[in-house]
Amino acid sequence: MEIWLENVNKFYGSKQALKEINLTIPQGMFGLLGRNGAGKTTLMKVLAALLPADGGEIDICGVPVGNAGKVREMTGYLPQDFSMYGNMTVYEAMDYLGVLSGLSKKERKERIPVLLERVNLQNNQRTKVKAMSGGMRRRLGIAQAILHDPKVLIVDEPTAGLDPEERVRFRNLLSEIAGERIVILSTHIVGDIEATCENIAIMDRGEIVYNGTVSELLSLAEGNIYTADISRMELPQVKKQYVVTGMLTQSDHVTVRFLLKNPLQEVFAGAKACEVNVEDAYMYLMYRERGDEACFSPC
Amino acid sequence: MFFTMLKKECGQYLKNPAYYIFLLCMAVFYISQMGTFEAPLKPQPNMEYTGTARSSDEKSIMENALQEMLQDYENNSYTTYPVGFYKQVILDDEEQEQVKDCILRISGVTEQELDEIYKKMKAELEEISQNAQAQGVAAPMPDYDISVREDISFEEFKEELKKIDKLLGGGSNYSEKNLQFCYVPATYEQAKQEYDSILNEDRVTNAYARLFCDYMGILLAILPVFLAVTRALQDRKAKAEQVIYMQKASSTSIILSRFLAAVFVTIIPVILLSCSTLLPAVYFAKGMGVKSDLLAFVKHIGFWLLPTVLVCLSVGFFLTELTDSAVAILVQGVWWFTSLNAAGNLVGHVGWNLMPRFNAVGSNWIYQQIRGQLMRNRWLYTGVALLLVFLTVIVFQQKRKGVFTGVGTMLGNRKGKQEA
Ligand SMILES: Nc1ncnc2c1ncn2[C@@H]1O[C@H](COP(=O)(O)OP(=O)(O)OP(=O)(O)O)[C@@H](O)[C@H]1O
Ligand SMILES: [Mg+2]
Repeated sequence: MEIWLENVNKFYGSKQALKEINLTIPQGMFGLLGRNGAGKTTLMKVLAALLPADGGEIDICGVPVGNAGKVREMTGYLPQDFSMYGNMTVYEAMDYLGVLSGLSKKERKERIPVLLERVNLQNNQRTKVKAMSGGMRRRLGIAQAILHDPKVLIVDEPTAGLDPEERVRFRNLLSEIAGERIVILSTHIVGDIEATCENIAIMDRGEIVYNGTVSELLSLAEGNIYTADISRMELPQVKKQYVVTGMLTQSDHVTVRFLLKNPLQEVFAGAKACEVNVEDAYMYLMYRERGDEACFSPC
Repeated sequence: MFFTMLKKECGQYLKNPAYYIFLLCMAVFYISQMGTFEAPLKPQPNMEYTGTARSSDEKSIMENALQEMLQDYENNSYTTYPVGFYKQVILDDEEQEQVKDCILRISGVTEQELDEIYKKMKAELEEISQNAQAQGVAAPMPDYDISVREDISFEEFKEELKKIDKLLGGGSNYSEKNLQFCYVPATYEQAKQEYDSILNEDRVTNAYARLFCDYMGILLAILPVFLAVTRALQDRKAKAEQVIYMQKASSTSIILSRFLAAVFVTIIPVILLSCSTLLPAVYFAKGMGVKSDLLAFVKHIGFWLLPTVLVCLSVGFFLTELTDSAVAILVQGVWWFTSLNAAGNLVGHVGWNLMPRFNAVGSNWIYQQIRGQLMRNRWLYTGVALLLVFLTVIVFQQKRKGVFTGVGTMLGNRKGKQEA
């Protein structure tokens, strides 16, 4: 059970949103990381047969993506801006979508309450969709995406806009769901990936710039990440020489975390190498790919 | 499964505020137009019968047209329907002169005599209005004291009027088409015949069913489009498009369930509404010892109003899926307006019009004449509707696969490309 893509391209008019994507996605959680406009949503829509690819081959657990009907049967999808008809209650929305995905009355009656409980909406069955908060709506989105028990679950930025507690719950939920399935999750939040995914891909400008495990990503950046306590006066200088990924301002000094612009760069006295986290590694990779501009654009 | 989808879709309409406005419009229109049941009056030999009968007697047609021309000429105001829309034509002096010449030619009177005729009419009208003020009753409009030349043939007469029709830009009351028959006061025999026909041929209910279809057809050729457009726009408005697209259900069953549910929630209230005319009609028939046709309304709604509803809804669904906009309301509105105004004659105007008109209780003999055309007309629109539904499924399918993104966005993309 796996998804593979070969030389997949996608154009919006003359703009190329996906460039020669080659990717294999195994069972389990798969994280897709990348800044705004990198092409994550586009890639996911192509996988969900909601957008046709311009050339290339895509195979979803043995089914070519051209067979949209079959792909829909085995895929659940949570769009980035999920919503449902505002005048429906949570239960009605689930029931409606259940009918559209071909579940019998009995199946719906059994599965819907279980799923709502799983996403912690069991007490909101009669809440209208229009009266739900963003986080609640997202949870409804997940529940509907797994309603027909799909083999593949594609979730586009499921944790954006959730409070920390809810985000943790959500991550755990996805990990649980992932057991027997392929779950593809896109995010800007490095912490999500760190906590849940073994395999990840990093996209930038329509290309896959990294594909591998999290630990491999970490080892890429190993030895390039340092921390140091410096005075405020020194801060501009450090910022100029290195890529600062974090700083904590205290009364008389600043604790900075930075990465080297190249592995051979000298490090000033007092700075010590530290353990790499995914964020550092991501920044390191982005810097390597894009040079200075990477540090100024939001990731 | 499809049946469950249908039920769910009906539920969607019942939650739509537009649906209740639709119902309200229908009820108000029904009450104001059909009103309460008016039983047909049994004609009595000594009673003055106020109805009219259609006549194709050439002499009557010519006299009627001449009377009308005198009045139009005096007011310099001519009613025409050039492309189906009402248009009032006002002529300049030279053109008025041509009309006058025509009047002189077909009647054989001299200019002085014509002036006399107008003067006489004026005097008569004054007298009438004084009497009316004194007695408080309105008298019928008198005729001009004129008639067509004895020796004029109908062919010659039509040729003369054709010129005037041309002068007016076509579509006037003097066009050849409108000179095929005229209305004359009905005689007792005719009124009696008409009355008997309502009882025996129409079995009462059929006569009222036609009037019902005439009125409701007007409404059902426009209102359902709102239902279709709001439903088809709902996905996008609720940002539920992609979620719906991702479901397993086929595009055919999604579109068809929405469409059929709309048909259902439109037709059911119409049938219910029809009962309030059906019941008194049945009661009346019973009193007259006539076995009425209980299914008359349902049958007429089925073959007469249903095609109208199908077309109206399918235009709504198709154009909305195609453009992701409410343009269907505009298109249907224009079509409706044109069709409404195209009906020069309100009893038995069919042709290929979206709204066949039959604004009369009874007149079964006219109905028998137009029945064939009515059937062809209705089959055509049923066909058109089915085709549009089929095309809607195709458009939906392509949007679902992301191949087609709606006319609006397609144009938008092209514009974006040019700018880039
Ligand atoms: N319908 C569209 N028409 C034209 N360009 C588009 C369209 N959708 C996306 N794009 C462009 O394609 C690129 C990739 O967009 P995409 O939505 O896949 O990015 P993303 O990684 O999901 O971004 P985000 O993190 O903001 O969601 C962007 O440059 C975007 O502007
Ligand atoms: Mg996105």
